Amino acid sequence: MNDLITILSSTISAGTPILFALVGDLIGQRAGIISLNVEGCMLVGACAGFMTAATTGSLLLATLVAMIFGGLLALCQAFLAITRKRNMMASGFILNFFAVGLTTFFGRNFLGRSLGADFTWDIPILCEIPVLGPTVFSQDPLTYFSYLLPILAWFFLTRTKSGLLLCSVGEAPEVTEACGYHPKRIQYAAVIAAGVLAAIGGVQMSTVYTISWANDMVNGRGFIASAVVVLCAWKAERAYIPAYIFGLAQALQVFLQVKGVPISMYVTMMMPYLMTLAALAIISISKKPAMPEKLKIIS
Amino acid sequence: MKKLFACLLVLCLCLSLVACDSAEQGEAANSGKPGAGATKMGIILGGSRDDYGFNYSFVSLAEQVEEEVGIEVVFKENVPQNSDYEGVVEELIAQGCTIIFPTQFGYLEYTKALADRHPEVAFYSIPITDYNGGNFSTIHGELQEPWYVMGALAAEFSETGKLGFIGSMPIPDVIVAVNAYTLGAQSVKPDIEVNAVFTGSWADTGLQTTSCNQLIDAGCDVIAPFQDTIKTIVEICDSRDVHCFGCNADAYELNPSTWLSACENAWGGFIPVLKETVAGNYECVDMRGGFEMGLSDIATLGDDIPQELKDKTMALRQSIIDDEIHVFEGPVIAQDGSVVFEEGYKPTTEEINLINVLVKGINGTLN
Amino acid sequence: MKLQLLDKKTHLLDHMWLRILICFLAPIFLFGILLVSQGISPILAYKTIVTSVFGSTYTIGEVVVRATYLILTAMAAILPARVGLANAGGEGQMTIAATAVAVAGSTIFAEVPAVIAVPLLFVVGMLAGAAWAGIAVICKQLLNMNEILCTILLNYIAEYVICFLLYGVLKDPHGWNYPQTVEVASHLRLPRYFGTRVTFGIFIALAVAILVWVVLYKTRVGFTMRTVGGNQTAARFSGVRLKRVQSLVFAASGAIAGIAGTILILGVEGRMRTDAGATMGFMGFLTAGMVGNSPIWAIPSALLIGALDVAGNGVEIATGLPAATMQILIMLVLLTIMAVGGKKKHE
Repeated sequence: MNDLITILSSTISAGTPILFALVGDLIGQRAGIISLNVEGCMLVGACAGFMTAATTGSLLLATLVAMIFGGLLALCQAFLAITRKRNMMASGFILNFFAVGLTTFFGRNFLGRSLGADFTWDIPILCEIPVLGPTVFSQDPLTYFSYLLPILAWFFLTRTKSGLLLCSVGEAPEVTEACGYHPKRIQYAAVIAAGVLAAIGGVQMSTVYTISWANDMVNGRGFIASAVVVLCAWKAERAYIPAYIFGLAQALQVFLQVKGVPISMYVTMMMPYLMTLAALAIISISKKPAMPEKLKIIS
Repeated sequence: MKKLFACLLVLCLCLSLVACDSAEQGEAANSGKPGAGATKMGIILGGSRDDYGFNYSFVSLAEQVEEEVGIEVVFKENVPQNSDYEGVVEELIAQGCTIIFPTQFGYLEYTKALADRHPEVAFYSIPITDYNGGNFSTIHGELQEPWYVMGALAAEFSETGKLGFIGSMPIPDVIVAVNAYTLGAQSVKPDIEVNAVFTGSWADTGLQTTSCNQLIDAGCDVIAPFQDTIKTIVEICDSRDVHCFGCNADAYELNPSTWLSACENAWGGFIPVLKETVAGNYECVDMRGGFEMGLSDIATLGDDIPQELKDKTMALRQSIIDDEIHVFEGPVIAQDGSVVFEEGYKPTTEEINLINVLVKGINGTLN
Repeated sequence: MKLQLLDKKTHLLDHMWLRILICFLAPIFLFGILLVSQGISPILAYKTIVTSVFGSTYTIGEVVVRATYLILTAMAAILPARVGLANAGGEGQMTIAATAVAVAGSTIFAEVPAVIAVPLLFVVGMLAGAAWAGIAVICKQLLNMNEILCTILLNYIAEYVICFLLYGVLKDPHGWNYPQTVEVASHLRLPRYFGTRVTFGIFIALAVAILVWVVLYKTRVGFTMRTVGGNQTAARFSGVRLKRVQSLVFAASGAIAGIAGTILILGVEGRMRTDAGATMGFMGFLTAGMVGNSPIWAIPSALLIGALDVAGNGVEIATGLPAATMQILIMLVLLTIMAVGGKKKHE
């Protein structure tokens, strides 16, 4: 029972930052732009968010500041990839490295700072449920928001006019244009939304998950999030699967070692990637993923 | 093509700028001995200097050198452990460093080549090796003594009888550390359990958090990391109300009440050697030692440790200095029951560094 | 569309010299602000940039050494891009090949004369690189898996496979228990020139780049490849066996990354370590992307990134600023080039 609680809470905390970045980049990719820069946005969000939270003690303010900075970095990507029509992968890479440099430089004074605040907020009544209570329902507001995020994104993308427009840009921008809309503006909005959501993931990571700011703390999570969009077949409601598979794998990586299960430690270290690969294989065999048309041209 | 031509033109412009500039470099050393009259010392790090761990310990080295020897110290961070290191050192030498201090084992081989090429520069490296000789010296602070003391302290301090260890990759230093830690703990409570977890990275804060939380869930109430970045582990331990050690540097100020202690790279033994070198009396040294040589030490003890236990810890440290205790003195038994060191045998530093198994009592695997 | 083109013609940024000027001045100005805010003289920093890159033969050699791998890993990214695939796995293919070469060079080829052994080692490297790329090809063609995700995941898997080997069976028994392989026999190492770290590898890299360009733009095969990359349906109708072309090209790109790994070991490294060639694969991908996957332009692009890296080292030492500052400088330069550089080519 306790083991179950351990694994479940580790899975949720490790998977949530990825879930944010994943949904963000998914929205961007539906509009035809791959935002490899979500890694950088997470980092900027983590840094700016931690700095704000450590000085003001407010999670809401931290999230807002992080969203602004994440959005600004995403704006650079949007400008390069949409207006200047650069290779969006290359510009994403550069922005990631840029973000590492910026956050390491400006976050220096906060490396030794404590947050001094606990953002955990138990949901009354629900937190009494065995197993689920202490794991799923005794988290922080950002994690609760992440539970709803894929559903909200699904509703937005498939049930609202703006969402459908956004998807149409990813499929056939000339049709969107013929209908009297500006495909580029929609793409800008999508890419910035991707950055903003990723930045929230970053805040969650620095203020709730690891409770500290460290140089380059995102360490490839955003990159993975951007890649595993494939795994949910560009459907927002499936974003839970890759994010929590990755979280579960990281949880198990440690869990198997703590329990002394005789598996090579290198296999456990590979596990997040092996499990993602296996999931990709299963999903690819069963169905052909519905890739946005615009992305096919790029790759 | 036109653009290519333009780029070339700009390059030529830059080159001509250098031509006017490069005459000013003068020769520094003239007493003949390596590092004589040095004004600059270059420290090459594998990570960034503000990690409160291994690389942070060189900041205190730099402070001591600038204060006591009076020469300037420059850092080069994030140097990968491959051949690119050679270029970095050449740049350091070109900018006037005549004492070079590489810190990682991956630099050793290239340091050898560089030392041959630059006989006027003194090289001091930390890991033990047989590349040394001539102007390439080794200053190896042994980890086992502080980690043994930490183990004993942890065993006394722990209430659950379970200790956690978060390793990175099984390099010799980490293996020595976890083994010495366990032996130290067993010297106090023979049946204590050490849970060892390896994350596979030196600074992934997410994995550190997960490891820390799961070890605490499994009942560990003292966590000892062998990681570069310590901050996250201190914060998680603080939030879960357990205590933790640091690694390779004194980061007591991070959180005095969660902090227990750490194995610290100490420089008391190195500074006199460096002074001699700067004075023009370089001698190739191969120093290996711990407390008594002033190359490794126990960091500040945390606020939550009762005074009585602090005294006991310092007494243990003293008895290691007095040679009453030898950390890896046999019998040392491996996890699978095989004998690593026979009863009464006192292994050398090399033999300790070559241990490739975990000792009995550790719950974890090296494969 | 025509109207838009006309608009662009009169755009201010269309003057080449102005663009080059901006590429130089904007990063210098922005970084200068940062330097001044830290109380450091920008003149010292910019002088160091010049001296640390062009100061001596050795420093120029440093640039060339870095460019060697970047050119090759960039080619590994460019070739598949031409057939509508993306190979983000240069990193993994390169390091796996390097490991294979380090093992072969220190065991079975250790006693063989260099004339025979070195070419064979290149074959070993290419095969190992192609094999690692082959896993992604199989995933793509048999299981219909997305090759970008596959190659990215295989990079991480390669990293831990190499760790497993280096900390286990391949560990040098006389290496003080440190994770590294036995050194490659000294007569198999590529010759170094001018007292720098530059090896024969740079010529191989340039040859591969030119070969890729010739094959792509001057041969029938290249035409077929570009057709596949341009319009897959059209290519299929004109009788191209799509899957076969794509698979072969992907394996070839793995082989090119394998050459990079071989040069890494036989050239500068001599033995495999966990850090050998770190991030070179990703940087190669960036090198290629910066110039819109053009094989010829990838060469100056690689030289530029190499030079920025070397300059960053020099400035960090001279100013005492943290390494992150140099990363800001390097990325500022690349961002400006991306923002105002050459127009997107329409193939």
